[in-house]
Amino acid sequence: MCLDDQVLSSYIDGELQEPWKTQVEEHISHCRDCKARYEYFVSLQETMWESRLRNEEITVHQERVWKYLEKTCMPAQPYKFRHRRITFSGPALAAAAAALVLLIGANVFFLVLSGGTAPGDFSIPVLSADGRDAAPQEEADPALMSVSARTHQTAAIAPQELTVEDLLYLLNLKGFEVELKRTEATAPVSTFGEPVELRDDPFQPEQDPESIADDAVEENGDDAYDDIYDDWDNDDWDVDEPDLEEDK
Amino acid sequence: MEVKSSGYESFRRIYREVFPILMRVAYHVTYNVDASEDICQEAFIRFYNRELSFPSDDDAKYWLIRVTKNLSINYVKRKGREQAAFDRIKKMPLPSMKTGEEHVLSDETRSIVQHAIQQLPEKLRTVLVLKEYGDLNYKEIAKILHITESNVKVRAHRARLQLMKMIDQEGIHVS
Repeated sequence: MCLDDQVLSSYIDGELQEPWKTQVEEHISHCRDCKARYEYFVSLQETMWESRLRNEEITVHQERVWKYLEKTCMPAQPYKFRHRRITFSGPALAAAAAALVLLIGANVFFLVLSGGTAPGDFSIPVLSADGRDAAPQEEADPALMSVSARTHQTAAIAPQELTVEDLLYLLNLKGFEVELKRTEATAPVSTFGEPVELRDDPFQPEQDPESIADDAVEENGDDAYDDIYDDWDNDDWDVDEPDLEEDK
Repeated sequence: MEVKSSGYESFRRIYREVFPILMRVAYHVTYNVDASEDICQEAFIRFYNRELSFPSDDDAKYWLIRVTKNLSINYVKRKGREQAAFDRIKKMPLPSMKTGEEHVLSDETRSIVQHAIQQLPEKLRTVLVLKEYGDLNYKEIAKILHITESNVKVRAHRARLQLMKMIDQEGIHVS
């Protein structure tokens, strides 16, 4: 008797430790019988490897599943780089909108004051220092008149004194799409510190990962199998140290 | 370093590394590419949604492989039951368990080896598939299956012997 099949199998798997590994190599080099058995094991392994799923075959599935997971599992990832979503709370948005409107409004008014009439299909009344209208008003439409009437009451109006409503109205007439949006105060994002999503999932006590991994096993099936093959877990089957016998 | 299964960066890293292994394990248990894709997807969904934490990337990997292996075996069992029920209705003898993929394979030896692997008892097949297709060593397989290393060694050996026997019975010798 030469090498045990068990030893050969471990050797092929690269699991044989020294000094047995060297002994097996030595033995195979001069025992034709064991060499043939060894080669048969190797050829079986090679045949198994031939049918192995190749990397390029896997890539398609890998990308498809990733897209699916991105879409379904993690829609509100705070650290997503490609589709980063920024949400402001209500007051912040309103303040930002007001600042923007004031900026645009101020620019429009300075333009009007310096250049006479504003570009576009209507003109904004330009106020002179003594409160008289300096610009012709024939082409101004009635809607504009109300604004001009109101502004007319205050002599020598400064742009800062216009109300947000007036500016919005004017911008609206100019054809700007002005919309003041307000988000819910209870947006699922905290307004300070790092963006942390506040989950409303019910609390789940910490579970042992291993017990969850076993969830996938169908109960009856696996247990029944355990009974049948219980003897395999018996230590009698185990060969702790390879038995090597010298060549005859 | 603790690894959170639902952390975006760690999830992405583990996905990139482990998906090919899961796909191979699932495929070589079920021999059905579409089913394997579904199984891998399911495994990662569970992984993400359970919000687990692991001591290392490797432990997360073992967990995923374990779930994938279980899902794959359940798939095969279910398929087997469905096939059996179908055969009873049709009152036909049990056909050999050939799947759609097998017919496409041109290499006869390859298909015989696949067929033989499918006939192996579950416990032997799992060890052999994890060893040859999962690129795992005895120690890792032992951790995944919760058995001892020497048990892995015994099962790998027995799986090979049975495989050879079945291939010989088919009358084809591996090249």
